[in-house]
Amino acid sequence: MKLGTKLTGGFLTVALTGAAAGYLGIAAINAGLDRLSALTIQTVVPLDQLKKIADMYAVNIVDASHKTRNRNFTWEKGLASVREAKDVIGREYKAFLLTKRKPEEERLLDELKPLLAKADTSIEKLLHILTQRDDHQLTNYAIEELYSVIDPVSEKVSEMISLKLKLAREENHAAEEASGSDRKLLWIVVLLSATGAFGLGLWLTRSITRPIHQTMDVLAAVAQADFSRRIAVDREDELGQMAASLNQAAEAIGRSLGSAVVVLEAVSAGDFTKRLDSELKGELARMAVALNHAVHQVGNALTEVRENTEQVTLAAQQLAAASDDLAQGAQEQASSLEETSATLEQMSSTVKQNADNARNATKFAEGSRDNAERGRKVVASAIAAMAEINASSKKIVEIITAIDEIAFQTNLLALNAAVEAARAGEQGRGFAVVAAEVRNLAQRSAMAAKEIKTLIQDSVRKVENGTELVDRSGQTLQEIMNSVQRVSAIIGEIAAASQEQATGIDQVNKAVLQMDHVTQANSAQTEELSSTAQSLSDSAEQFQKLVAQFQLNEPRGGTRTEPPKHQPRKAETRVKTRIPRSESGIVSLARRTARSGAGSMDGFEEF
Amino acid sequence: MNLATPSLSDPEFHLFRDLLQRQTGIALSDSKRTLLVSRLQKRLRQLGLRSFSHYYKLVAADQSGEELRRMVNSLTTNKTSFFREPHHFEFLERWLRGRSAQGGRRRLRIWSAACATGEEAYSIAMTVWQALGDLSAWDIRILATDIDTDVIEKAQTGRFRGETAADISRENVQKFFLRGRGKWSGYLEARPELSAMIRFRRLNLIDESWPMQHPFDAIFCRNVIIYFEHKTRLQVVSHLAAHLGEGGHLFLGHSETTAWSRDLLEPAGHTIYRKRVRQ
Repeated sequence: MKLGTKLTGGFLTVALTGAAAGYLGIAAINAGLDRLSALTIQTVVPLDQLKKIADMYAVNIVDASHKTRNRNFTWEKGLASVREAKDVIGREYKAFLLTKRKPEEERLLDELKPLLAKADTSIEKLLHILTQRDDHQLTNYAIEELYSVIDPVSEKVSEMISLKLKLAREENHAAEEASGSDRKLLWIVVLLSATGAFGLGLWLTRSITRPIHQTMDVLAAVAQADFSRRIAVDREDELGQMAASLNQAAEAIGRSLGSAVVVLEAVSAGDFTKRLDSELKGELARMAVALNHAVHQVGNALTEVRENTEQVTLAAQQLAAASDDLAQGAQEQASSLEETSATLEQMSSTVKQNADNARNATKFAEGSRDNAERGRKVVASAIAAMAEINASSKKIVEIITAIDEIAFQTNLLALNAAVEAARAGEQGRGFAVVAAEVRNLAQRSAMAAKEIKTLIQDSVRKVENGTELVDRSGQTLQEIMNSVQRVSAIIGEIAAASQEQATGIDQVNKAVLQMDHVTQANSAQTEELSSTAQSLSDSAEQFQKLVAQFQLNEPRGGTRTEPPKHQPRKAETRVKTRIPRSESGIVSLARRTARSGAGSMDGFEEF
Repeated sequence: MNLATPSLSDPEFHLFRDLLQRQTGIALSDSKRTLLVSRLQKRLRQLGLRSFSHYYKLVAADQSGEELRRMVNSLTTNKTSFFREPHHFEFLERWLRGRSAQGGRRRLRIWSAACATGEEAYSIAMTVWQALGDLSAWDIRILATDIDTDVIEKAQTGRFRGETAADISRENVQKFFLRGRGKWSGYLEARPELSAMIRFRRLNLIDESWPMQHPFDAIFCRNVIIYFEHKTRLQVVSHLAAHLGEGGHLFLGHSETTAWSRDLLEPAGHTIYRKRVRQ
């Protein structure tokens, strides 16, 4: 049954019982009112009339009479007052006659009537007196007639009043009794209906407040954000529907909040992949959309941060690698600079040696040239001498030829002599011996001459050779001189070049020094760069660790690139030309010219 | 006389490179080929050899190790000067003055590793004298080592060409040196007070252990590890740090960093490192 129906029914019942009670009550009241009005009409009004009548007589008229007598009233006033009283009496009496009377009352009325008539007559008289303004009559009237007329009326009226009252009391009593039973009935009805209503009310209330309390409990729980409570629905009326609806609402809100809590807890644990389902309605749908959107946005942002962090980490790694390379390069550079410096020192001393050697060479060249010159002179004289030798030789040859011929002739002569001697026999033996000796001598001369000739020829040949040689020597010496001149020229160039070389080396030295400074500065910066790269790397690592705590959806599109491994630095091939480094200590350096030398010791002394 | 340079083939270069690496830790990159040629060719000429393979064989065959020593000497670069990288010596002087003011043990041990012709060791000695004043009150020893025996010999003489002292102020030159006469004119000789503090020895930095037994207050190892490859650098620096006393300082060359030894050493200045105090 619907609640409305119940309530309506209940109220209707109550209303009806109330109405019944009311009706009874009204009826009782009506009855009572009737009786009351009856009482009033029948009793009060007549009583009032009677009282008025009585008062008019007993008070007004009497009063007016006396006051007029005492001059408290003027004659007019007294007259008016009595007239008025008379009117009132008349009016009231007329009215009284119209009222309902019981028989006993009729009887009294009948007794009153003559008395009234008498009184009226008397009052006429009074009026007359008053009109006449007769004091004496008035006084007489007042003393002798007034009361005798009025008192009976008063008494009768009193009687009537008493009777009325008595009758009224009886009536009242009866009425009371009637009312009493009415009341009893009414009480019963009222009680019944009250109880009934109360019971109905209780029942209704309970049937309403119980579910309402349940609802309140559930709503209180909801107010405390507990969506787990449900109302037991055991009816189908509005409350039941409300309970069902509340259950549904609690269910829906509870579920969606639960999902939202799950999503948010996931988010607080770093998992951004969860979403609310959006089969919700109204504000919850808005919440779901907003929450999903928010989580999506933050997830995206974090994904981007993660990607950026990875890039930063890569960059930091590259930076660290680059600064490592730089440091490595700086150290290699330093080593190269040292070697260059060492080489330059050697070059410097070599250049100095070259310059000294060039100087010496020049000296030697000049010496050689002088020698060559002298040589040439010697050669010239040698040639001349040899020419003389030649000439002498020729002469000697001539002489030798002559000697040879002489020897030859002598030989012949000796032969002849020997022959003659042989012919001469004994005497000729001595001659033959002599001739033989002469022949010997001649032969020996010839041989000697031959030897000498050979020697001379040999000598001439030698001289010729010698001349050739000397000629050639002369040429050679000339060539030597020419060469020496050329050599001197070249040496001069070498000396000049050595000078330029020394200047060049000086410049290179300065450059190397500067490079050394730069290398030092670079090393310092590289060290800073390295530590910066390290701290950047640390920060990026921390950042990555932070971000790694979060579970995120994979980025849409694009493959993630693997961080490149750090390549060890390949040594570049640098081609350097090096000048041979002379061994230390072996090459003697050109000493400066000794200071004033006589008696100086080789050693070390104070400054 | 044929003056043409013998050519160096790839295998020959690798032979020498590996030999040098093994013996000294010095790493020659491909760009250092010309260096190798120029440094060795004089010796080749002296020996009348026409090929680097021959020379290598000779070196390998020499039991006395003399030729190897010569080869190593000629391949090492000895660039040095007085007070090179002056901020190191300024730091040293400040530290020594502080130490002197504090009182405490008057014992000082400093090592100049790779001292070449000795300028570094003498610069240290000069700084020590300058900072402490009265040397007699202190037990001071400066160890100066190098792998190249020729330069050690030169360094031991304590004699230097006058030009090398160009960067030293005139009054300091007079304070620390004697001037040469006669055949030594143009030369300077370090005063005996300086030489007395210094001992010169040959030492190879890549040897697994070094003979020094006591920790040093300061070690100078400047512009040496630039010649080594990364692994050797790590090894040598760790080894050096092991020979430092607590709070001792390591002085490295201007381009050398120890970013990878921060647990052992903490930076105390520009290329100056302090050994961390054990917690």
